[in-house]
Amino acid sequence: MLALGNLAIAYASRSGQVQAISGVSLRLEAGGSLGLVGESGCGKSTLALAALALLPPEARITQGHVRFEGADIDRMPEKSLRTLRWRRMAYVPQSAQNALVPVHSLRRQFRDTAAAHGMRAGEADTRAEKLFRRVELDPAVLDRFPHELSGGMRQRAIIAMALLFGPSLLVADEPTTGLDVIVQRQVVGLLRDLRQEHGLALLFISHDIGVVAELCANVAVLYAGQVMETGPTADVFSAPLHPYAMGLARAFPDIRFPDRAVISIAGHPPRLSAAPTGCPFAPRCPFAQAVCHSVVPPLLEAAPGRSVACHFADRAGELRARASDAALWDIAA
Amino acid sequence: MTTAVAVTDARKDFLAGRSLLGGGTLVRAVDGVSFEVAPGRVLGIAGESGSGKSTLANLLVGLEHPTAGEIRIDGRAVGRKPDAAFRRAVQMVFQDPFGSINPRFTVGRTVEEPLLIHGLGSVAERHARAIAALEESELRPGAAFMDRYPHELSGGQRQRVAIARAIVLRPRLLVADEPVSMLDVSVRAGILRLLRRLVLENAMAMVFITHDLSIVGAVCDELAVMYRGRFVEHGPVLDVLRTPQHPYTRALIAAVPVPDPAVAPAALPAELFAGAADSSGGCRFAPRCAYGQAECRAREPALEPIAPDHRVACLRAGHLDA
Repeated sequence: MLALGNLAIAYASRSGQVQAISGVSLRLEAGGSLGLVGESGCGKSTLALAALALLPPEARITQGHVRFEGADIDRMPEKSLRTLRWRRMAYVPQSAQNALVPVHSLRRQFRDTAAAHGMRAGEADTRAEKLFRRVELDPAVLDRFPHELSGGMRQRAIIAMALLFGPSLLVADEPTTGLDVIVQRQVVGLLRDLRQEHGLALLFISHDIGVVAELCANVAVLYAGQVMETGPTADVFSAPLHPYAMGLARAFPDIRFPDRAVISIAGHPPRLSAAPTGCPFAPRCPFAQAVCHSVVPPLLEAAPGRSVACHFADRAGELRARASDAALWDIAA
Repeated sequence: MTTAVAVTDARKDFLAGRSLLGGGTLVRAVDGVSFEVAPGRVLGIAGESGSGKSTLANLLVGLEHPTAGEIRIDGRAVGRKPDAAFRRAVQMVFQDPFGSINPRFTVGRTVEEPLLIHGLGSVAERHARAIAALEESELRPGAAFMDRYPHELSGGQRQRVAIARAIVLRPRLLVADEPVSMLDVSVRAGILRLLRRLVLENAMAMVFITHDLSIVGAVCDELAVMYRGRFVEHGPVLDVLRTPQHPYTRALIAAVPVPDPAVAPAALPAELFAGAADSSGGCRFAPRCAYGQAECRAREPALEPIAPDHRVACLRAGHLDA
């Protein structure tokens, strides 16, 4: 239903062109769920915006395509896109504060959104009330203003609004970041249930591996605008094949093991203004060899539905054993 | 035992919703909190937004003055207007390394600034002390960072600059308010280890404010869980995390996502999602508590030991699973 094919996206900046995304291919089936994880600046949000054909003017698709329900949305006129957005695809952004108009009641915002797509106010009200009950908000909250709501209530109101037209794809960019942990659990649970009830496909962006583990059947690990590894979430997190995925998994603390050493990946992601030679992760990789610095490893299928871009993917088991040593990652600094 | 910081029954009230005509309701942001932290030790304070943990941090660094109660740094009570000695003894590391350091200052100027404000050392001495603080914060070689600007640094490096600025005065108490929550997961562990090491090497105390219980094990000796202005549980960090005794602590731990898709998320009691109803006279967590009894709404529990060093404010402490 959503397919990114060999996609490359560049931003024009004062200091020249920045290659934010280089050759990314991803698929999301109807009703499926795909998590995008990686450090800030790895291209997660750019991919989310590309999936919605909402890239800012300074961004340009230099290669590849974005296909949604069979149509190339990257070259679709804005007018046709507008009928797709909201109706077929909806967006839950990171900052719920900025996603709502502060001076209008929620009811007014539901009605305005509905009117822009030819739905009458009465029907918008009926649907809004039903959706509010579903996200466990009192329909009376519809007559309140965004600032009167807590962060969790606002995020639930936005999810309700995203579902107004019954879309088939929901793109959520860090929707739980900044929420308290109990409220986060509530929002994650809600997204999971709604996905099942409505057969929604979910493209979920998060730096939080724990939330992705709860919500997404598949995951893509991004680094420097490229896919390092992709596959079923359970496989990628339990037995990562790419050293970057190994590092991320070991960098994420686990509340069940409070005294387990957590690692830090020394260094930082490369600047994307210069064309990379070799594997983009090589400068930070504790296992990098000469070949890694000179030859870009292609993303190859390692198992059905599982791909990895590493020259040493066939030795992943041995690397994983070594990667559990926290000191190894520090030395790479 | 010598303490770097001792807080006795600290309270801080605010008037919320006050208008020109007066009125408003009294909010007890911090409502009777006591603790001590010895040099070389780290106390974690965890809670949700609205728990009062940030107000408590502000009291510790002198940005707010307590309505009642006392704060002592190295045995000296903090007065209404904190003096220069206090401001030297207590330093803070903030959440946002992009907002907490001046983008127009070089790293060198940022780290030297506290020395300049306190009139310490000659130009050469300040320079040398700044380089030393940068190296202690693992920005090596320190001299190479002195002329750089924040925009040339990664988030983790900026937070290390903020830490260097905080330790350059050799404080007795470091208050770190969510110091890694805006950093990438990949660099958090390094910052936590750095803070832990600095506390030990400099024999200073640290109060570590966080909403994230999954990281406290890596950095804290003790953990206090705060709910609506009070400590509801306080003890050795691994004891609190492994055998939490307060229903609220249990809920906070159960709500943390586990990075293993094979593990189903723990169910949370429905009561937890009830609004913060009025609890006057009783336990302030009672309206959201799955273990609540009639007595809980009538009497506010005090923080009492259930094991050496492990204290819980719950009438059913020790009998939750009975």
